[in-house]
Amino acid sequence: MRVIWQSTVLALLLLSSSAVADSTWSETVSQARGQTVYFYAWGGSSEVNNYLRWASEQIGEQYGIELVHVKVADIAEAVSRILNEDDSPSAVDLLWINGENFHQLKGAGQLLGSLPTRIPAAQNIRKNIPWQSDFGVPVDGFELPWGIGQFHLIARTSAVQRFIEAGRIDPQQLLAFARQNPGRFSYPKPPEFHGTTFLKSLLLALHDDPELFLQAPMDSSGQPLQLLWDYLDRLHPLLWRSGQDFPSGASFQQQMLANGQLDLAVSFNPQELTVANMQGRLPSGSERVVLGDGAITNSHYLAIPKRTRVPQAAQVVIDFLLSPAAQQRKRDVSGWGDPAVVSLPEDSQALSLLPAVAEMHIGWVERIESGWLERYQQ
Amino acid sequence: MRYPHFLLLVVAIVIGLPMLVIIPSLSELLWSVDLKQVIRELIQYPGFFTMLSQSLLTALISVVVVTGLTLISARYLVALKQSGQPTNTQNTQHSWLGILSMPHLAFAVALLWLAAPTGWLWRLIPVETPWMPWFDRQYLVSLWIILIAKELPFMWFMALRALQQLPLDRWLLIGRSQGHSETRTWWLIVIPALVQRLRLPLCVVAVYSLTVVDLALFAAPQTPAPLAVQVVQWQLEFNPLSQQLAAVGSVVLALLAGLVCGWVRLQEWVLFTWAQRLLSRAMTKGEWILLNISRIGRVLPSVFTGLALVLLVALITLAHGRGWFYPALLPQQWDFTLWINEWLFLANGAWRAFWIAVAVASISLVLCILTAEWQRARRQKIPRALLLLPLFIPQVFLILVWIPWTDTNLFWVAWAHVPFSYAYALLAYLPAEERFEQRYLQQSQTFGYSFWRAWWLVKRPLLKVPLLTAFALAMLVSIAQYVPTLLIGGGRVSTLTTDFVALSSGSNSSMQALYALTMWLLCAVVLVVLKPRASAAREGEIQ
Repeated sequence: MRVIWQSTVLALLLLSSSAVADSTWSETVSQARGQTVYFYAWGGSSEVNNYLRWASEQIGEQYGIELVHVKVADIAEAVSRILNEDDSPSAVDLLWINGENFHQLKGAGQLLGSLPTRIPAAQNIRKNIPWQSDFGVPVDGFELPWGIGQFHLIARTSAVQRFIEAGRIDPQQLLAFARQNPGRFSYPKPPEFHGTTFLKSLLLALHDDPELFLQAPMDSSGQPLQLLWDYLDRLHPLLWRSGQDFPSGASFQQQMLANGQLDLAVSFNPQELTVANMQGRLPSGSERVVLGDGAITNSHYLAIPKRTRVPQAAQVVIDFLLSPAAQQRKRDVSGWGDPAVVSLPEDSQALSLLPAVAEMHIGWVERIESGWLERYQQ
Repeated sequence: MRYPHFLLLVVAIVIGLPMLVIIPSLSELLWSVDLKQVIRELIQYPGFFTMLSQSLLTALISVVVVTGLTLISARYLVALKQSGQPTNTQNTQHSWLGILSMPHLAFAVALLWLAAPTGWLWRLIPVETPWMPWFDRQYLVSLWIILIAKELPFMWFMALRALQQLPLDRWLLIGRSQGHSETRTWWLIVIPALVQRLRLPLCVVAVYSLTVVDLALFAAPQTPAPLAVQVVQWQLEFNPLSQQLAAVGSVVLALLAGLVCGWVRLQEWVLFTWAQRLLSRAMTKGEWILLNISRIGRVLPSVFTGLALVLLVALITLAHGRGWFYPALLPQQWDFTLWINEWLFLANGAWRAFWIAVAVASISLVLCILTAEWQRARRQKIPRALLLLPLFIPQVFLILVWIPWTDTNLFWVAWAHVPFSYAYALLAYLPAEERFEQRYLQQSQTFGYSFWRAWWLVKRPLLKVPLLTAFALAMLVSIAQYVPTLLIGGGRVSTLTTDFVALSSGSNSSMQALYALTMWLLCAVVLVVLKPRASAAREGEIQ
C-alpha cells in the first residue's frame, strides 16, 4: 500500500516537474542575481583564462552574477579543500573536473545531483557524445560536460611520416619509429591522466578483444595486461632517457616537441595543434596522429559542490557556459579551441573531431597504474 | 618587565596552537590504522628507497656546497678597515641580492631556459654539443645546481648580517699582532664564529632542500620523484591508503629533517676542531694550498651579480618573444601587448601580495620580539627546533588541517602565512638579539622609563639592522606563499603568486615569464626599500 502511495506521489512529481520547470528556472535566475560564484578551474592555460574573463563579463551583464575564476595548478587542490572542510558552507561553488577527482567527490557525497533536470541548457547537450561515463565512472547527474577531450599524439611530420597511415599509427608502427629514432618519444608518467590514457590506448590497440575492457575485470589475474607489459618492455629502452624517467606532464612534453628534443607529444584537445600554432607555442610542420583504431574520447565537466552558498548562481553559470553563444566562442581556435558539447548551427565540428573509441572500465585503470609503477619505477 | 608569561601566551596562541592542531589529525591517521601495515606498504611502495635517497642526498649536497661557498666568499662581502688589500667596493654594494629577491620557480625557469641543452646560451655559443647535457629538467644534478645557486645569496645575506655583528677589525688586528696572516686569522678565528651564527640558516637550507616540492616537480627526476613530491601526490589522491602513506611519509620527512640538521651541527664541529688544532700548529702544505684556492670565493658575488642581470634579460626576452623554437637565436616576432592586456591583473595581484606581506611581516616581527624578551625575562631558551617547526612539517599537511578552523578572508590568509614568516624572521633576529647587552635596557629603566618605552628608545635603534632584515625576510616569505593563500583564502584572495604558480602548470612560457618578472620586481622593491643604510649598519655593531 505504502509503496503504491509513494510511487503515485513520485509519478505526480515527475509530471508536474516539467510543467513548473520554466517558472522554477526563472525563480533560480532571479535568486541568483547579486550572488558571487567562485569557480575553481585549472589556471595553467592563458587561452582558458582569457575565455573565462570573457564569460565573467557576459555573466555579469546578463545575470548580475559575479563569476570569479579561482586559478589552481591542479584541481585536486580544490578537491582536498572540499574534503577537509567541515559541514559549514564550502568555499568552492563550481568546479572544472573529471576522472579521479570527480570519482572521489561523488563517492564522498559532496556534489549536487540531478543537474540535467535542474539546468535547462542540459537539454542541448549532443546525444552522440559519450558523456554519461567519466573515465569509466557513471556521471549519474552529478556533473555536466563542458567540452570534449580526444586523446591523440602531435607528431613532427618530417620524422614520422613513414610510420603513419591516414593519420593513424598502430603500436607496431610506433615501435618501428622508436627503433629508428631512439630517444625521440616518451609519454607523461602515469598516473598523470595523459600518460594513463596512452597506456589504455595501447592496450585497446594491442588486444584482439577490446570489448573485454568495457566491463569490470573478472578475476584478479593480470592476464590481459601481460600484452601491454611485453610491449612496453620492448618500447621503453627506445624512449627519451631510455625509459628510465618520464616527463612530469603533457605541457612539458609539448615544450620538448617545440624545442626539438622529441618528435611526438600527447594531447587531449583535438584543436590543440591549431591553437598552439596560432599562439606560437608549437612550430609548424606537425600533425595530429591517432594511436590505434581511434581516439579515446571523453568529456571534461562542470560540477557544483553540495555545500555551496550559491547553488542558484552556480546553476545559472553552468547554463550560460552550455549556451550556444558560450560554446561557439569556446570552440573558436583563435581562443581556446575546445570542441562544443552542444549542437551549433553551422556545425563544422564533425570535421575537426577524430574517430572515437570508447573509454575503459575504471577497474582496469587502477590495475594498469599500479602494475606500471611496480614494473617501471624502481 | 612585569608579565613575561603573557608574552609567551601570545606567541603560543598565534604560532603554537596552529602547530598543535595537527596532532589530533595526525594521530588519528596513524593510530586508527595498523601502523605496521602502513609502514610495510610504504617500504614496499615502488621506488621508495630511491625517493628517500634522492631527498637525503639533495639536502646533504646542497648544505655542504652552500656552506663551503658561503665561507670562502664571506670575507669579500664586508669591507675591512684593517685589510691589507684594497676592499672591492663593488661586492659590498651587494647587487647579488638580485638573486635573493627572485622567486625560486622563476629562477629555475629562467636558468633552464638559458642553460639547458636547447637553451638560449647554447644557441649563442657556436659549439657542436652543449657541455652540460645533464643540466636539464628532471635531472637530479640540475635540482642540486638550482638549489645551491638559489640558496647561496640567502646564505650570503645571513652571513653579511652576522659579520656586521662581529668585531672583525679588532680580531684581525689581534691576529696580526700575533704574527698570523690575515687569511689565517680569518679562517681560524672569524670563520668558526661565523659558522656558529649560521647554524639556523643552514638548517633552514637543509630542510628546504629536503622538503621542496615545486622546484623538485620541475627539476628532479619523476620516476620516482623525491619523497616530498610523492607525499604531496599521495595527499592529493584521496583514497584511505594514500592518505595514510602521506601521513607516515610526512613523519619520515620530519625525521630526515632532524637528521640533516644533525649534519649541520656535525660539519660545524669538524670545522671548529680543525681550526682549534691549527691554532697550535703550523699549516701543512695541503691546507695552505686549500686556503689559497678558497680565494676564488672573491669572484663569486660578482658572478651572481652578472647572473642576476643575465636572468633578467632572459626573462624579459622570453616574456616578449613569440614563436621561438630551437635553434632560433631570436623569436619570429616580438610582442609587447601582453603587458597591456595583463597589466590590471598583475597590478592587483602585486598590490594584494604586498599588503598581505606588510601585515604578516609586522605581526611576525612583533612575535619575534616577544619571543626574545620572554627568553630574556625567564633566562631560558626555547628549543630552536620548536620555533622552526613550521618549516619541518610538509606544508600541505598543515594547511589541510587548518581549513575547518579558519574562514576564507584576508585575515586568515595572513594568519596562515605568519608561522612561516615568523620562522624566517627569527633566523634573522634571534642571533643578533642574543648578543645584545640587556643592561643598556635596565639602565634606561632606572631613569624611569617603562620597559617597552626603554625598549623602543634604546634597543630598537641598536638592533635596527637585524630588525629590518627580519622584516624583509618575513615579507619575501609571505609573498612566496601559494598553498596557504589558495587553500585558506578559498579563492577569495588571489595574489601574483597564486596566478604565477597556476600558470607554471601550463605551457605558456611567455605568460609565465611575465608573471615571474613582476614577482621579482615586487620582491626587489621590498629589499631595496628595507635595505639598512650604511649609518644604520654601523649602529648595528654593538660590541
